[in-house]
Amino acid sequence: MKIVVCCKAVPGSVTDVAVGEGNALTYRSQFQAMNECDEYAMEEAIVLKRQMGGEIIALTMGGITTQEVLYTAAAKGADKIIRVDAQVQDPRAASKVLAAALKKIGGDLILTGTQSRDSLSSFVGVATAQQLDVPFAFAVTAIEKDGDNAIRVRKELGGGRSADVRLPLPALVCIQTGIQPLNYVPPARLMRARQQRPTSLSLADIGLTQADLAPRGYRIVGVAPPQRTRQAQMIEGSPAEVVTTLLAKMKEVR
Amino acid sequence: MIPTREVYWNISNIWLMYVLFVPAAAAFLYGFWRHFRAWGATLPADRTGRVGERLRGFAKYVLGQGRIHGLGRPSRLRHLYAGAFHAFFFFGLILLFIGTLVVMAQEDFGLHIMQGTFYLWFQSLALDLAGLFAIVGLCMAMARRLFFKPARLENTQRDLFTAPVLLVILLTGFTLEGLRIVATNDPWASWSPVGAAFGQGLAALLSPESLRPLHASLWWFHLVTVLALIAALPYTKFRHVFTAPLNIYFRPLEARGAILKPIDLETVESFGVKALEQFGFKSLLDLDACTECGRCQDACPAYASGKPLSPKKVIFDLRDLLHEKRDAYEMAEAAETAEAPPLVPDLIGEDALWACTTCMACMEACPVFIEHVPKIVDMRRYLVMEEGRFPDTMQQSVRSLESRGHPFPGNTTSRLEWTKGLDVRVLGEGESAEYLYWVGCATALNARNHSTARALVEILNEAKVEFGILGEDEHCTGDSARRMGNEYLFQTMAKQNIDTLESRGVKKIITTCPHCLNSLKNEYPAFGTNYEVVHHSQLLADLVASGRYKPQGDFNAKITFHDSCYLGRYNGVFDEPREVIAARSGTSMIEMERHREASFCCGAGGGRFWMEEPSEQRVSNLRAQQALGTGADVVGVSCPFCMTMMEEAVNGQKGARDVRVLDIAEVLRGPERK
Repeated sequence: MKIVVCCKAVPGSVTDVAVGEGNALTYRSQFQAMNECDEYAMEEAIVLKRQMGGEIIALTMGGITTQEVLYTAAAKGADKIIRVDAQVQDPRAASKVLAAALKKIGGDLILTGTQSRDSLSSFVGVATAQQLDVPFAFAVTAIEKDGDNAIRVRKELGGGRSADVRLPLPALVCIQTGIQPLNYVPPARLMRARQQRPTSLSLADIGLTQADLAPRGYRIVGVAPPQRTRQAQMIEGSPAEVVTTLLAKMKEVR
Repeated sequence: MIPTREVYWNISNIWLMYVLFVPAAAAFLYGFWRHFRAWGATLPADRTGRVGERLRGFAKYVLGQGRIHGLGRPSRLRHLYAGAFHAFFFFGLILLFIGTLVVMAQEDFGLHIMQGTFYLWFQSLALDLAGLFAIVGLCMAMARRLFFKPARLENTQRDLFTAPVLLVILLTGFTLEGLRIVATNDPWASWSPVGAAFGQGLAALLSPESLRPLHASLWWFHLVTVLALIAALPYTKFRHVFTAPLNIYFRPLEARGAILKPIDLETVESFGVKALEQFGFKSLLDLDACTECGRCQDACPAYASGKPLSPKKVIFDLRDLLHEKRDAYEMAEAAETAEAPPLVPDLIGEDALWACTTCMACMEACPVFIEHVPKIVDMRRYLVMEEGRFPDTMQQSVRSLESRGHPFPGNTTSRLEWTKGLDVRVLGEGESAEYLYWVGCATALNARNHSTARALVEILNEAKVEFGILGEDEHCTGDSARRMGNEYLFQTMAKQNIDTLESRGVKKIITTCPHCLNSLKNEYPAFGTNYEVVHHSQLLADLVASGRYKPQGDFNAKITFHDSCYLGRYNGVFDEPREVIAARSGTSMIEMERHREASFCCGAGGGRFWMEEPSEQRVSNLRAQQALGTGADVVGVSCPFCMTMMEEAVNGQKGARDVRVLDIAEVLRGPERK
């Protein structure tokens, strides 16, 4: 089975953010890491490969620095690493790039995370599946093989319920966090993984142009931190006074 | 008549002594040759230079027995009884050995020195007293093992045999001297008072004609016992007679904080120590130098809090494995194949390995300079860097370091939050100030420590010290990553921080965190830096002494001060925090028994801050009990990690008492000020 895992490079800290040039968000953080949901997808891919054999391809998009997440993927166990050289923030454009790249790469099972830490749109996985015209499942917490050409997945529903769904392959699955424990990547393996050269695809290689990447229909006007509502009250005083005030407040509320 | 005595009086066939000496010497040489071979031939470069300093240390710690008695050190590190008895037989036996050399010079080299005044004062009186002191020392040592039985001593059968062997040699020696004195009616008997007394006693018990035959047979017995001891030296605990002085000579001379050596990530093929053979010369010599005194275990906070780590046991286990492998001639082959079973967890449990707080109490206590902590970190390095195997909560902290540049998972506090309303300059690229205040993650990101930083900044502003901070561009120095064994992450963070510091032209740094201090001061120079780094206690002590800052008002409090390991044992800063506390009028100081070099860790070092542990196993609770036991109303600290650990533990245990944990900067500025 050929498994492709889409891994996004996200800034280490997403709190210090501003609207920069070209209506894009710029993050101040010097650190980049693999988006946590995608890391869970990577861990699941490793387990599936162990069970069913095949190969794992890790795919990312972005500038040269995003290769870091591919090295992490390789250290975890990806057999091939591919980067699409495209700076994309708009989720719809991202799904376009991924779909185009996946058409070229192929793959029986495509894994993505449910959302990314920076934009929290939960859009890219589903939109990619739609453009590839393959079945998908969102917020998946377990995957198992079901016959030769299908998988059975457990996906989360509201209210703590879940549904078992059978998907014919090829399919795209958005992985929920916690599907497997995250394993720490030992630095020695990471350093060895750095010896690998990622395959680099340009937009032209996947049949797209820069114009395809522009966000359409919206414009980011500003970014703001959460507003303090001053609802919280700090109770001052000795422990005994604090408890007395607290009890009084609790009675008031009741 | 010239005072002297006849050597080998009453002994015939003396050639037999020389014959018997050959196998003893052979066993001795073979035994030590095997040790040397097992340690490996290559001496690391940092252990061969600075010969003068090494010899001075040799004089202080071998001849002066500096760490055995511990005179001049804090009471927990002073061992007057053991120090006295060890000195008694150490010097006694050395003098007696010199006496034997004198006999050899006289008999085998024809130097007639054993006569006249020298004979009377040295060869008779001094050696008699030396023997007496050695006997007293040995009896004291045996009494300790038989009656006092300190828990740190093993007291196996093997240990019970050590002192008696020496005692037999000494007692038969005096008996021989006494028999000769009585039988020859030695005119200089009064110069050998102990031997003469033995003689008097024996003469009263034995018939005159039995003296000579008894003397002859006892002489051969005495000789064989001595030769057996020589032969047994390398194979028994007696080996420390040679290995301990060697270990002291090769002791680490760098700053304590620079003892962990960088790994050359570009060239090294495997990281850390998986198998015994990967330890270097000094690490293996350490194992054979151990005298089994157990002082490391007594000092260890992990052991005291019931965790499965004893630094003594780590050394014992490694040593036993070394001997096993050496006996099987495996060292050379195993080093090549590296197929040996891993030390962790086969020999040393993972729980034990991760229990170490790297507080250095063991190394401070060791009389022969064994280096426990670097060995533990070397084994951690293998687990983390090669296998990614370490406790979950530590992993979360490391992930946070990797992705957010600070070790506190889930913490989203701004590094500038504490500066609100204060006059603090944030240095951008290309900007500089006389001092850089390196705030540290534990101070900047933990609300409790904000008031430490605020107190310090207010003092600096009042004293007109020109300084700036890095704000959001400051990241963890990598201290905890390094001690968790993640050398790769440490070096990544160090290089990144050095770039930031260079871009601000930094020359002088103030830190509030002793861990940051240690990395910036002792570890970063390996990457080409040369900053003057001071802890805020040092700067504050200076400002107060020079009158640049005058504390306002009284603070009436009995204060006990908890020495941070990384400030105290690692960097030798003991006086300055106490000077800062004393500078605030109204304060009085009460020391805990474990203070200064003998301080007891708060439990946070070595990555332990990120470990969850049951209350009864918390090092911090033990320390809080010690602090509360002084009756103080303030526990002074000088480290943001100690602050968190101690405050939690003190609050949990103080009951109805009003006890506060305060940083020294808060004490100086006035804790009542916000």
